[in-house]
Amino acid sequence: MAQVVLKDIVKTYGSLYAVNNVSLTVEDGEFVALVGPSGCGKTTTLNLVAGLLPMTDGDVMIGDRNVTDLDPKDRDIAMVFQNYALYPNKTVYKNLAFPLQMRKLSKAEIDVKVMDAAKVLDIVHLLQRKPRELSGGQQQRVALGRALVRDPQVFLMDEPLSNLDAKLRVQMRTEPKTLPSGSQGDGDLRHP
Amino acid sequence: MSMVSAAPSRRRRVKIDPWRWVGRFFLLFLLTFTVLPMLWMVLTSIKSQFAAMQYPPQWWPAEPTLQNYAKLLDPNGSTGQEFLRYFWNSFYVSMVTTILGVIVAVPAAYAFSRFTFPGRTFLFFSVLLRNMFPSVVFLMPLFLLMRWMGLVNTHGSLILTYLTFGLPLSIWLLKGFFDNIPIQLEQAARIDGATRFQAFFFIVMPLSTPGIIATSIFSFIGAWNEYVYAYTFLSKQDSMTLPVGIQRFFTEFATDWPGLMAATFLMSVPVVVLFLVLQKYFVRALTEGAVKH
Repeated sequence: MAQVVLKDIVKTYGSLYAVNNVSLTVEDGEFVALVGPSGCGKTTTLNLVAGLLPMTDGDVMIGDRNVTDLDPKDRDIAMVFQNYALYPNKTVYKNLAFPLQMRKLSKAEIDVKVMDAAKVLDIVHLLQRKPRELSGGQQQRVALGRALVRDPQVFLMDEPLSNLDAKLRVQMRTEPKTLPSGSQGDGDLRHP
Repeated sequence: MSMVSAAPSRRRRVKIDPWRWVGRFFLLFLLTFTVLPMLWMVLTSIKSQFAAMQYPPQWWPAEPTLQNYAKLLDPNGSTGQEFLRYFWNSFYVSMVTTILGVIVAVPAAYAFSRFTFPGRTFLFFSVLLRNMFPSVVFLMPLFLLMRWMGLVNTHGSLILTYLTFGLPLSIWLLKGFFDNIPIQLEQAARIDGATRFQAFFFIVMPLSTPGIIATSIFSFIGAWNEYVYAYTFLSKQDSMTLPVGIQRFFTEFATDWPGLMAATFLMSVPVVVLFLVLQKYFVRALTEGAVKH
């Protein structure tokens, strides 16, 4: 559960302003989409919130913490990438388990959480497959699952639908809103 | 109608393309050129000393014998002891070169692939500086350097030298591999709670195994076959490596050709086996990055 606040964030590459003085408040449980032409800085903004890029200026607050100088792993966020970024050498199960392993949960806990997320996303039958053996829609579910599995405070999604065909896109557009059933839903920044 | 159109196309298919045949003959020539000496090596190695010297030559050994191999591999005989010692020295030097090479090349290539830092391009190309000159050019300077460091007649001198030969290629090859691994995978791992190093170790390393294997073979083969430096740096008999040691089969008055050939054959075994077992990684590493996926 967390509010996300961006305060005058700036990202420059040399003399080029990729993100210029963006301020934004996303309330707890709110669902926000950033829309704009390509190259306008949507992905850069998300990467700044995630901590994947060093910020030139400004502050990012998640809840009451200032996370500006924190590593991505310490920000308690989850992100779904445009190309899903599933670990190609790991099975679906291990993809989902990875964030929990990194947080040193016990095997039993990991198993319970992975199965819960898999049930919600209807991918239980795919758990032993490798990402390349999945369809685009299935891969996307796994990517969502990896974000859901550990109750993060913020979900970031970078064009999660752009790799899907038109029909799946319509179907999936409704899902991110329905998936985090109440208690998990927090500040969402989505990138359509 | 269809008959009319089919006839010329059939005729076209039968037509001989002369260039294609020139190419085939050229390949056949190259193949003969490379395979014949090896065949002759194997055939000579199973002849007796007398049969090997006969003229006109015995194309096929009349009395094939494995005696030469038995002599080389016999740990109790003096020849066997010497040969096995050289073999072990070569193996030790090549193995240490390979392992150290991977330990240095992997982080270096990763840094070149992922980080931007001042002088990156300059450093990346200066890595190749060493490869712009024939290796003999460095022979005397390196010898003086090794003598100054007291490394002459040690395997350390060879390992250091081979590293400087092998590293540039390893770094370039591995960088190509790392470039092909989407950066989002590491970003995802870091968001999932991994440190930068963990992301590298758990996600990037397993994905670049083929590249690491291929570069390992490269440095192993390079170190295994090297002759000039081993000949210059090592003069003590018990520290010699195989390429230098095999020379001892040439004596002043006679050469033990079958023994020499058997030793040469045994020397090529590890390389051939390595190559056959791991060749799919080898090909992948060399063509990786050739086309965009």
